[in-house]
Amino acid sequence: MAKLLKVKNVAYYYTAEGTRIRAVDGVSLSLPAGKALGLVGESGSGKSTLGKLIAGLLKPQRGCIYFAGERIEGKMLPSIQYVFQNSTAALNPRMRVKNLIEEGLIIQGKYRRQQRINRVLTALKAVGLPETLLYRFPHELSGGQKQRVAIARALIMDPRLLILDEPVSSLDVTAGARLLALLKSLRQEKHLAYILISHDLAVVRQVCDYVAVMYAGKIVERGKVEQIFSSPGHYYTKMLLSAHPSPDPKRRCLPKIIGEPVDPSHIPAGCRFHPRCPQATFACSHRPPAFFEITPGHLVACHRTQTQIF
Amino acid sequence: MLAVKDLEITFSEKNSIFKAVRKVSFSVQAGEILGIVGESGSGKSMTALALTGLLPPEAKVCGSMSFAGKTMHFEDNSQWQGLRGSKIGIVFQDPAACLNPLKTVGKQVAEPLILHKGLTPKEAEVETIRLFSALGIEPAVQRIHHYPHQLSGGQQQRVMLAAAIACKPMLLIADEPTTALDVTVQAQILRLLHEYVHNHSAALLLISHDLGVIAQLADEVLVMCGGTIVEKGSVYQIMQKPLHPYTKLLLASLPRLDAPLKLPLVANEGLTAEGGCVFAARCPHYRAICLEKEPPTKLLAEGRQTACHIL
Amino acid sequence: MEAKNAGNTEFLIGISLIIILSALALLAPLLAAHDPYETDAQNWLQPPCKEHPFGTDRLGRDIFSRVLYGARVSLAVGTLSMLMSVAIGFLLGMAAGYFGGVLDGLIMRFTDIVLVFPSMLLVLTLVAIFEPALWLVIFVIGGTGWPGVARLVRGEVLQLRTKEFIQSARMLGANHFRIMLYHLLPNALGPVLVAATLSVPAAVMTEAGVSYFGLGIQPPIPTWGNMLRGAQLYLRHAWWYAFFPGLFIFLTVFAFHLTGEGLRKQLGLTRVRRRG
Repeated sequence: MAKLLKVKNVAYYYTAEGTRIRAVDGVSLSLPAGKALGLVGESGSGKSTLGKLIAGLLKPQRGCIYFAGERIEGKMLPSIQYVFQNSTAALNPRMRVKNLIEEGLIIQGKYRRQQRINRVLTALKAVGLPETLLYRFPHELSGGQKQRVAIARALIMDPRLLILDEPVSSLDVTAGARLLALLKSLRQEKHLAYILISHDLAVVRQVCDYVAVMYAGKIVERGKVEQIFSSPGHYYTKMLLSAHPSPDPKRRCLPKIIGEPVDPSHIPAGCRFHPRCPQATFACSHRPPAFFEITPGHLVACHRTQTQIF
Repeated sequence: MLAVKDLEITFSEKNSIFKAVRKVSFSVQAGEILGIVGESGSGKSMTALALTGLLPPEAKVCGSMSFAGKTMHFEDNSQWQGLRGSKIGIVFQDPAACLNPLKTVGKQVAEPLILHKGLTPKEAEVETIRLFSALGIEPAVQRIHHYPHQLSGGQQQRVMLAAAIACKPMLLIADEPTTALDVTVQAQILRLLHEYVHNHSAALLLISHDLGVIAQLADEVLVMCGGTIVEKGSVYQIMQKPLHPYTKLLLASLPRLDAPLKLPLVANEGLTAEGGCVFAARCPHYRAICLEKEPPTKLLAEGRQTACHIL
Repeated sequence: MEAKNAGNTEFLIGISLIIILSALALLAPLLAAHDPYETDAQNWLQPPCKEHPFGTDRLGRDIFSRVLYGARVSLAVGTLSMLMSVAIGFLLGMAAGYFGGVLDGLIMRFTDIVLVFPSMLLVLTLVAIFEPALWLVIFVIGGTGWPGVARLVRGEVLQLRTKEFIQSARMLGANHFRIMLYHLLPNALGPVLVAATLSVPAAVMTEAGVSYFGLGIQPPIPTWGNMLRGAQLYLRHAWWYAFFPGLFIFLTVFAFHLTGEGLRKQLGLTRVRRRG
């Protein structure tokens, strides 16, 4: 099957306060058209940076990114759109909803005024906002509405891939749930591919077909949603899953979590997760693990899973 | 141990009056964790601020609270001075904003010890080191000399917690203590909160928008909406058999690991229920009466209560 | 709320004063009962009376008329030079802040150089070299007043540049021009508006100062500055001679400052802390 997006061994480094930070350090993944990939990990795992690399907002130092067969490193395409985490900061406070949504069309310059307005109205409807909001300013909208305007702004470009950075983390539970439902239906309607960046596995579970778990700039596990959630292979994935608070008081457990989210300026040698891994061995602290396919399509980068299988 | 009666917080602006919290009463026993859950604007944080006497001066507060055998009126702000930090500990959502960036974290934790407990600076430092290592801020001996910006978000929240529990308060108030943190760090902080309550038989008021967090820790749960308590019960009652439509909506909206979302998509657009039930405008089952009359609080069996017309 | 209201009253008082002063200047030919150049050897240094509400000067000219005509010069110098410095400052500050790097360095060093020269001194020198004229005064004050605006705009742009809505516009394919015009400019406008308002009285003062030294607009064209110069020998005998031009300078400066401060508060640019 032809892949819409292919990321090959991409790396992005930068220097902050004299220390070299390996934000994304050799990541490969692929995504077919119309599918959704969830990128999960703690803060500092490089998931947002990876999203920005794919969107072309950053240019990788190493590796290639192919979109529909073409190399696109550092290029921003209309067909890849990025929805920023903080919709308050991502919407120009001095523009009205109509102008915000319309902006992409004006830049393209392909449409006349009336056509543009029709498309704005269609986009507004697609994200479930009433027309009465058309002439409001962002500060007059609720968090959920702002997030929807940001999505409408991206949708109007007719993207094939939408990168969503923590779309619900700043919203109330009920608004968040409604937005997730919207994302689900939008994807089916428009045959969109998503990359959903989130620290919340439960959010990814709702929308995505595939999951990639990142730790310290590397993907440690990837596979289909069912594979990852029912039989996680990497200890880090297990840790994330166990830490997720369940709303069922019968399943109360406050797991003992070792260590802290990794500091990207001090990445440990060997398997990057080994200082926090309950099962780390000598090999883990010396040799970085390679990917190993435990079931078809389910890849884990862990020495222990390999030895357990054989 | 703590009983709040008829707490009411109003903000008046020029010609409009906004009731942030209306007639809220509840109580907490020693060793108990009371969870308050609700969305932003539900009045849960305002309630917490009122209990600590930290409300902004333009807020008008009514009601009383009895705490550790003493009755205090919310109108009188002076009574809180001696309590805050010594008998009531507070942890807020954003540790980076609460910590003084120009002071070492050790000094900030030692401060209440010197102030309230009368320890000498040397003793306070020893106690701070002990607290730090108990809360996993390692290596404690060096960490006390660090400034807030040198610590990660999780470590900063541990420091906040250390400062809050330094004087062994009987009541700990945690307002969204883990909202800004990663799930793994959240689990660690929740564990520490639980340990403190357990070891010191203190009471904990845990305020969160996350039903998962509440379910993991709380014994009793208050569900707040629009400044009122719409439902109250034990954590099992609330999470397994929610009665109020708002509680049901909250539970249904929470993304879960084990099941896909099944959303009752309701928003009664344009409905206003001035003077009626606070949830009527969003309620899938609303009737005419919900728009007109405030529902009375019904007391049910086993200490459960709810405020809904249609139940 | 309180703070906003306070800003509001200041703004209203200031702007009304500005409107009154501008009206006086614009309508000078109608309001002035006398020709400002008409001398009257009989009635020199008359104290204020019915005929001459502000009195007459050493040549018997009507001070009221001269103050009104002087207002035209002062306000023209103030607004035109303000527009000029805002235009230059905006362009340079925007370019420096947005593009950064070498360009930023070059522009900001140039700004520092201009800033180093006391503008009064520069004006005096240039006016001394060239023929003193109205346009030259405007040009020189405008040409030296921009560094403040440039620095302000650069600071704003540096802050705004990292905001996500700029990246979001880039994502949609917006070019530099569009980003600067539609995204940076409207958001940087507030502080610049305040700075612009406050730069008018500064220009008025500089003009008055230059004219007072006799290097600005030359008599007999009346300006507040050269009227004061003319009055300095008669301070003891004819208080009105210096008082009225001085009063108008004061009123103008006061009005623009009130407006600027009111604007600043209304736009919420300074956080006014209230204590309970």
